[in-house]
Amino acid sequence: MAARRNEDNDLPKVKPNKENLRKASRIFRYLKPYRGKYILGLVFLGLTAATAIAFPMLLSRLINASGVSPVGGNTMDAVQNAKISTDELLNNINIFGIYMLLLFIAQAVFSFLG
Amino acid sequence: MLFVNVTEDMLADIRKESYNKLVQMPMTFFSSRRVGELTSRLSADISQLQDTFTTTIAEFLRQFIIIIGGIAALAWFSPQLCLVMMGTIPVLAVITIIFGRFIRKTAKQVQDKIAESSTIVEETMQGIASVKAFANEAYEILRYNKATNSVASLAKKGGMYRGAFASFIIVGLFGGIVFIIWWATTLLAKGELQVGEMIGFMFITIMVGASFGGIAELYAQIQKALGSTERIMDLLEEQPEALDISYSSADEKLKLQGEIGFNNVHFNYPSRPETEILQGLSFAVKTGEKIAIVGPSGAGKSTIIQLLMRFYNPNAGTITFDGKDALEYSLTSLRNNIAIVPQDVLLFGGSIKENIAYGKPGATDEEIVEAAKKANAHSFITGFTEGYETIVGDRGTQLSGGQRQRIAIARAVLKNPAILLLDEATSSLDSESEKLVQEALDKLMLGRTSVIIAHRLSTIRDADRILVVDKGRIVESGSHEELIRNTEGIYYNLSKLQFELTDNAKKEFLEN
Repeated sequence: MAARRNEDNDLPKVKPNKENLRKASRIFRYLKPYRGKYILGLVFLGLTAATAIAFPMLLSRLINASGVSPVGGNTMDAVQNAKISTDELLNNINIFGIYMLLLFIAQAVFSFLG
Repeated sequence: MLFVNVTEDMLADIRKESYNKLVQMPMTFFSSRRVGELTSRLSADISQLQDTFTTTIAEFLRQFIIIIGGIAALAWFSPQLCLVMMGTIPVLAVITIIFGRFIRKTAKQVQDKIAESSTIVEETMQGIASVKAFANEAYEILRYNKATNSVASLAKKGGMYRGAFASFIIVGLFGGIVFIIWWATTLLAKGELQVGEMIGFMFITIMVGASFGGIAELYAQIQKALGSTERIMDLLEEQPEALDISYSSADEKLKLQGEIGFNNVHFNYPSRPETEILQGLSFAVKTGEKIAIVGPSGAGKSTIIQLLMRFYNPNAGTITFDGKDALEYSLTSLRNNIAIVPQDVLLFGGSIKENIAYGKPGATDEEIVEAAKKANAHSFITGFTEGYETIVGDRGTQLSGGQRQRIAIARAVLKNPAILLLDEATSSLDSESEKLVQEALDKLMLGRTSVIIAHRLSTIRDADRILVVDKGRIVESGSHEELIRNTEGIYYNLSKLQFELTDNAKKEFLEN
């Protein structure tokens, strides 16, 4: 995390209060000419974070798609229990795999732009 | 990428503007601050700001979104497990941060103690004679032993904390994770959770935990950034000198005749309000006159020069140029008409040519060579293998005091001012180079109003008038011949002091 680069410099810390926050916020006036870009950056930042969270959620779907049941067992049990063909099962797995690949690509793009 | 783009643009603006402000600050601003400190802190502040805008703000928001979104996702996976997680991981993350900070603080204390004990060694070694004279060896040994023991015990304590920290990480953090896995597998066994959900849950838990830790770090960064931003805003909102730096004004140049008047001028430096340097100083200089100001040190001679350049304004009384109050001129056009050859000449890093051209930006090569010739600098410059392209300044060729002075004279020649201010170098140059400098100055002063602050009386005998300043007032005034006759006067006594050392010089001085 690049934010730690300056961690050890000697600049004093300042407790935030109303007055110094108001004064410091005037720095944002220098951001004004570039406001549009900055907001766009924030949007991409939000999307990056959202894709980061979407990843474990898709992962859980992928694993579930393999048909591993809560009480153990394996793919073949799932085929027998759920009465779906192995082809169908593999197809499901592939679909989630592709979704995840797409998700990573999206995250990479958002993170680069942000 | 967007953030970096925006931030760099914005920082470039802020850098430019703060430099703009800094350069245009009045001298009072600089005299009340330590400039080196000011600029180094400014650059530290700006790089802090750079971090803040490129990473800190972005990271903060990202962590924030991950925490909120992550917790929502966890609740969606399993509300029960989410509550369990919330009760453990963030708590552990925060404890880790606080613990870590505590350890760093102890490490710093150890460093300080070590520094303290080595100060004792340094002091006693430097003052070993005193230690021995007072037969205090035993006392010093005891003092050092005490300091060393406290270093050792503090370092041991630090080591113990570090060990405890490592153990805490193992037990606490990994334990916490295992605890959640254990809870999750129980749910799994009961059929309340699926394997996929459990794995997703673990991933998000780690992400959220890391974000909690990250946000605590970022908070410290934001506190620092707040201080930096405040200081930068202080500078940006400071009132600059009333300069007129627009390019149009340089074209329609005001040309002064060179008449100067000081009317009952009172002045004290803002940094020292209790000492009034000038106490009702009055004098007048006619166009083309050559005035020398002498007096004991601290009498206010250099202050007169500073006021003439309008680095400061008088507290009371007026200074006039061509009969008009100095305040009525724009600072820029006034200073364009005055050249100063200071005591200690600062050359900027760059070629000799560039340094001479500082007197008149945009001067042609012919003008520069011409000026150098008039300043008796041409021959030594062409003596360098690279001639006018020789790099001087900190990283270049070191010029002697006399050579630097002649460069300054060449600058003044180029500037071609109506008024010339000379602050004579206190340290004397070797006689050869002094002769060259003096000759160049004589040429330069021809036809201009000149005010010379003289430290060595030998150089000012041919001044039209000599003003003796003492305690902020003019106490004597007249030509050398007039002043030297008054054996009760300050001028006579100053002369006597300076020439007592060499009888020959004294004789020569009185004869002239």
